[in-house]
Amino acid sequence: MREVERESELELVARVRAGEAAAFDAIHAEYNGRLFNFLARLSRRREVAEDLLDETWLRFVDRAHTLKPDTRLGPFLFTVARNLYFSYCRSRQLEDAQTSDSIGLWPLGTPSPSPFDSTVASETGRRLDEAIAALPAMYREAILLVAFEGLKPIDAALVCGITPEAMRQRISRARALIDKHLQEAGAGPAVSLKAVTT
Amino acid sequence: MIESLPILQPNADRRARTMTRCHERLERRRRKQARLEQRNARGLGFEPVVVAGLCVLHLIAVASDIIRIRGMS
Repeated sequence: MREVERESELELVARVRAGEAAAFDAIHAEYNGRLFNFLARLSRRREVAEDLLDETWLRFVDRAHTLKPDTRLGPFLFTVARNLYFSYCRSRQLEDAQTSDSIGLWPLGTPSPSPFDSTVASETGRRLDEAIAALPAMYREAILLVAFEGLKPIDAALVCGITPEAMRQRISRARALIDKHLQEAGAGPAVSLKAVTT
Repeated sequence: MIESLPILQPNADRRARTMTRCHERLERRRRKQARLEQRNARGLGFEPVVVAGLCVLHLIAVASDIIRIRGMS
């Protein structure tokens, strides 16, 4: 199960509001990897994702005591991460300059490939990663939040500050663009996202 | 097909460093909060006593004035 159960989530929020380190650890364990994957694919750079991930958690603990008791951690954390990424883009004016062939998620020349590296290198995963990296940022974040991170479209819309309907349109458009990219690359029909887009 | 996307792992050292920094900040905030609560609790015990004492002094002064005025007339 990817989502923290609501009841335990409320309890975690209460505990982290009180400054309890164990509650923070539980939240960190649940969301750290997910936030990193989201940021890495959104920014298309591992180092940037690492920096933004650190900043996301530091912001979170700084604001922990001001969280509302009914805060939903997933949308809250992804919103902080997303806002940090777009602040970073604004400050560096990078978004337009970046191209899909500048993916820097994995260092080249790893001495001995681990099982993880082998998976990364798999053709399907690589093509799909390229297709996602080639999407404009607004479609990329939509597909990452809903299809990869498993957020409901309504929650993803909240994260991106748009209406659920606009989010559905973005997901649909992103799906079409990924399909097109994969077909051009000869990988056949693409992402099965019907379940999350309806 | 989306499942074929590889799961990326953040750097373990940085992860540990960030967690330590977060713990420190949480602890700092907790201590600050505890100090504030302690101060408030102490304040609540002290202030009413001072106010009550001043009220008693005022009442004594008023009473002695009344006695003095009535005694004079």
